[in-house]
Amino acid sequence: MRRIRDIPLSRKLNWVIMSTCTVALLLACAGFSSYEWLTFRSAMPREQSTLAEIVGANCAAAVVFSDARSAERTLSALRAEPHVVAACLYTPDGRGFAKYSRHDVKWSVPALLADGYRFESDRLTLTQPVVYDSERVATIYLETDLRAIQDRLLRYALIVGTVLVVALLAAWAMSARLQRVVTDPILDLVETSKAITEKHDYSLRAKSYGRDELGLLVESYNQMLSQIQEREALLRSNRELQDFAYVASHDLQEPLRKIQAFGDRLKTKFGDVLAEDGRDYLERMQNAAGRMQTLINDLLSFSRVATKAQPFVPVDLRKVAHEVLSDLEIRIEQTGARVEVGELPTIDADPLQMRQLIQNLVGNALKFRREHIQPVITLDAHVNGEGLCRLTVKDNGIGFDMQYVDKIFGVFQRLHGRDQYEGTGVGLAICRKIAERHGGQITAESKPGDGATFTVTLLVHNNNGESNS
Amino acid sequence: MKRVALFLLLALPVFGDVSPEYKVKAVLLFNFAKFVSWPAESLGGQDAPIIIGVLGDDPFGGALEDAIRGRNAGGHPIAIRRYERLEDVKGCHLLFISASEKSRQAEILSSFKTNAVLTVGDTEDFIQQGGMIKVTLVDRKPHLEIDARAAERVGLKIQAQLLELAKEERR
Amino acid sequence: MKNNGHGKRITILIADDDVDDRMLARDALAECRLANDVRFVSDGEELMDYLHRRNNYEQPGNAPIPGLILLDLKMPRKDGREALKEIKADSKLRRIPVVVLTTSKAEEDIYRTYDLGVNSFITKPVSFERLVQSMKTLTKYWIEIVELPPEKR
Repeated sequence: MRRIRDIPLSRKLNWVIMSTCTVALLLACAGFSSYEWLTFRSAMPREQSTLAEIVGANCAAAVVFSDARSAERTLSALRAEPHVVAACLYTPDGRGFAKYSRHDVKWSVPALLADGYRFESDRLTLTQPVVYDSERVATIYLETDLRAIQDRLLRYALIVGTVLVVALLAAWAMSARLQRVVTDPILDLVETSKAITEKHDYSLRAKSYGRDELGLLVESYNQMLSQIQEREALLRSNRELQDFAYVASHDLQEPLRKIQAFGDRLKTKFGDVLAEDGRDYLERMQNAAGRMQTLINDLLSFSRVATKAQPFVPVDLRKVAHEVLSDLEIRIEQTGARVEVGELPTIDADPLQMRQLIQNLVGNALKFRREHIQPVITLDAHVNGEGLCRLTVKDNGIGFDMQYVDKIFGVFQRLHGRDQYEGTGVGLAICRKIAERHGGQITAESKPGDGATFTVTLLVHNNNGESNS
Repeated sequence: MKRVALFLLLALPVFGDVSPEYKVKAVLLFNFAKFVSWPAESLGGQDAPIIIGVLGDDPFGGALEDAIRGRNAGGHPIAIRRYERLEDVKGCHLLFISASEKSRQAEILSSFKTNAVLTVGDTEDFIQQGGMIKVTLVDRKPHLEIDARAAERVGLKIQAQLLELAKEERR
Repeated sequence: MKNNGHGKRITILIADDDVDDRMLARDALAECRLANDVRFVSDGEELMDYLHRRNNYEQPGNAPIPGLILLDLKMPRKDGREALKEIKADSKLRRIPVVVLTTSKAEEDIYRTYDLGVNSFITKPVSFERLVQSMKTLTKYWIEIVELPPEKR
């Protein structure tokens, strides 16, 4: 038994309309029929009463002057009313005086009943006074069969039935046509949706049929599609750019290496032949080549965050932090820095990228230290109730002005000249990309001359290590 | 002595049993008043009584009084008058001429030719002599003969239903 | 065959598509003052032709079997990886030690070539000095220290 909700829309709508019409029509017919029945049941006695009154009045003299034959003659006029079965007159003392009965009926005068009408199984009996000159001169009794009612009601029922059937057929035909006003836009939308999802073609648009709620739905649907299209384009261009960055930096390595190699060859083989300024030019050229090498390496690192991403596994951040510190051991020793590592949790992450992240942050902390002051770097983490891990790297270095807080996370964005601090300005951009891939973000807080605190939020539990960037 | 005997004779019907025939006729007399309408001037007002009179020997006894008790005709109360002599008849609407006046019947009837009085009798030739309604009993059932034209002539209107009843017998 | 005093003399076959790299390699090897015979091929196809002694290398004596192959991974027509696969699949050529000398630092290149049975993997250094050092170490290791399987004709 198919669930009601699963029935096709147009059929559902049809059934809704038909049910409504049927119920309405049935109620109306029932109402009218009841009214007919009720009024007839009250109208009939009235009609018969009038008849009895007229006939009775015509018999008044006959009763008063005891002319039974004349009375019966008058009563026999009831022959004209085929529904009258019988009639009779009673004298004031209750004796039967005159009678009439229909030709097909065997009937005898009944005992006098009280005034009024009674509905019997198939008869209506009426007993009422015959009044002449404000006096009751006789009682007239009229018996009518209900065939009148029955015939009438049957006819009525037939008509009602026919009208009902015709009306329902018309309703069916009309609803079949008119429900399309509602369903066509919806079905069209469904078709378009199906086509879009099957072919992944987001250039298709749903057709708008008007300005009603459906029209608005279609409008917002189409807007959504446009947004998806834009996103798709963006994603595609993103992917292309990433691939391009990767390939380009890869292919750029080769000629750069030649420049460096031959520069070095030149220096080795012909260094003493060159004049001082010649050597100087050579030196600068090599430095430039070296910087380009770093730039390309950094660019490759940056693009690799997405392309060489690995699936998430539980990573003990404490272990990673200590590994990074051991990698940076020399620099730490050179700068005399003190690094404190707090309680770092284990989270779902890409182990290599976590390493990169912490290395960049600690490396920056060491790089941007204050002269003549021992660098103190603190690594700490805090997990809140909603599965979010906030990792902080705090230093007491030179800090930065908060107006640049967004800039520093941009690619190749630097706050200092290259003669002040080395680096290509890609380290924090890589950190942000890594944070975002892990479902989090990175922010910083600082005051110039008063150190900086970098906060990375990461999801503790993360099982979509594929598509977070 | 003769007078006493006459009185007794006359009074006898009053105190003694009225014959069933006249009981019925008394009722009929009253009912005639219901089925006849008098011209307005002869009635003298809404509440003016309709006078039923008996001329001659009263055969009804108390039956007339019984018949009219508590009833009216057309809204008018009924009053009963008994007359011995024609000259005494005054202001009467419905007059029953007793059989005792048979010998002078024609003369009596002709004197009402211009008055709006409904004359009722039960003698054989009542209608021929100018009477309006002759009422007799046949098999104890009322048998009516009505001269509608005579009534109409003096401005009396007899209901059609009543006329119908008498129609068959009419010449 | 002149004996350089340290051991046998072998042919070193260098496969590299880059003309500059070939030149640098030749210079570096010359700097090592080795008397080994150095041959060059410029892509994987040529390498296989040489090793199978076909097409241009049909003439006997034109393609002495190398005792060491220095292989660049990125080459046109047939790249180093494919050539490596073929070499290691061939029963005759399999014994020749192959050292991949390439610019790629990518880890996947490293794993894949080791999977294929390369004997060594060295990233091409930038400074000439280091290139010379590498060549010296290489040749010292593979020619002098290591027992190379004897030449089979």
